[in-house]
Amino acid sequence: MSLAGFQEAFSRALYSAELDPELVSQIPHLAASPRTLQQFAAYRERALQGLENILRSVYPTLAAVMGEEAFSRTARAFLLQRAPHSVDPVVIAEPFGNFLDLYAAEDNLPHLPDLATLDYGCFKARQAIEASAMNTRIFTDLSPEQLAARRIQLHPACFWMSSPYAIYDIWRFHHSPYSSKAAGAGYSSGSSDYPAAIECGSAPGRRWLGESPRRHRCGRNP
Amino acid sequence: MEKLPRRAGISLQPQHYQEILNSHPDLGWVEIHPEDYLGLGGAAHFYLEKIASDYPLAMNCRSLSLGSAESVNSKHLQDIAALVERYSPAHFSEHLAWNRWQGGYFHQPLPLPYTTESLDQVSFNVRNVQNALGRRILLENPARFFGLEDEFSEGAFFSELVRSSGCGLLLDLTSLYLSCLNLGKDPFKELQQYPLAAIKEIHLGGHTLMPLDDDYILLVDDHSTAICKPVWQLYRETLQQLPQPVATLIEWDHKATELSVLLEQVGKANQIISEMERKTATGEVTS
Repeated sequence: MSLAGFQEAFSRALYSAELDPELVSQIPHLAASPRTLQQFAAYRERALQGLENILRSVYPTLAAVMGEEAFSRTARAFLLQRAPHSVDPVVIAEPFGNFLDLYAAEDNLPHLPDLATLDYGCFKARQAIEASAMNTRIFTDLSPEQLAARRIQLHPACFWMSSPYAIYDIWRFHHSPYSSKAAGAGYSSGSSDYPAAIECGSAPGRRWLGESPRRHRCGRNP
Repeated sequence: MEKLPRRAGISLQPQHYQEILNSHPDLGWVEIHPEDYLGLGGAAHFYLEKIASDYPLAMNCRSLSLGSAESVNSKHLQDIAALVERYSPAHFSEHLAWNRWQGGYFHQPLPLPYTTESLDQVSFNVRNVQNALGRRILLENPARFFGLEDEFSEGAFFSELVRSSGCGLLLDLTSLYLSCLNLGKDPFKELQQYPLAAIKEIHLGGHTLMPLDDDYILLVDDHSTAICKPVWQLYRETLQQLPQPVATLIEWDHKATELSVLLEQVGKANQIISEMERKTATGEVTS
């Protein structure tokens, strides 16, 4: 049996919805042992745990709100649908928000997808490339024509979103600054820790920069 | 590119960034997993740049999937190459394993049978990566949880791989120890089969016990505990057989512990290295 055949069979058994003795027995090159199934289960568990940990690092607040058990169950259901096609946590975790839409509907927790969006946006923001913030000096030497041609872009560490739920308060209550692997205590690059959290004072209640009638989600389709 | 000193270092964890910068502990070097630094900015790079200016750096990759029957993901390899270019680590290593199949990633080094076909494929992938990075890389032995029908022992496979690809060997002594115990072999005997002259770096880490039934306990390399006594013995034995000590990593990257605990393990490794260097100087060790 070829290496490709071995990896095809191994992958199929690893990504079956449940540990399947029949699929494991079809993996070529396995030395006969009464404990092969349990040993394979150890690989499977580590692979799923590794992926689950990636999702947890991107969605620490969501995990805290859902509870470890529910988060783990949901994360695994998501991961078993298809293997991630990237190593980058930002790419792996992105579709989890859409997946949560289904979960949230089933469990009557409609705010979870927006909470996930906020977690995801913060994770991305923490890894964003450094960029100079806009300041008034850059306008000094511009002609009116040049000024008219200028376009304002969001800083790479900023994102837009809005929600009908009080997700910022929920997020702030459950969020730990040390819950994300990428977070470093005392880090300051001159920008605020959570640039998405902007409160507008022009209307009652908490709003988000860029709030519009349509819901915008960072990195996902509106 | 700075050379790694023949001393002990640690795997760098975010929890220790600030403490390392504040206290500047006596570490030979630090190692990172490049997958944790794929983002282009932010706190991770902010700290890594500062720490890498104080300590020699090594990169231990877990995602190039050199054991896949398919070629290396070229886009991902480009991202890794950019990171290597940015930080110029003294060592770059990857595992003798696979974790990618038909585009899907598993995020766990998986075992491959040590056959002639595997040897050719891994050797091809290693050469590809070495060409892309413009440097020799090190291959690390993984821990095995079960036996496969192999044509080579792992040590013999590495010997052939070193010869055919020009890579070096990163010997993870904890993985060697666990694989041997899981498969009913003697780690001290198996050690003799590896190309010891190709060893450029050693890893030492903790492990946990996973009882499978009343008669069998699987040993799992989860790097979440202190290094056990038999692995320290194996370390001493390995250093005795090398012409000179090599850079040694204390791996503790799960359930991160206090930096002081890691430094205690570093001190222990450095003590053994010093002993071996003294013995080599006085001619007590045969290499």
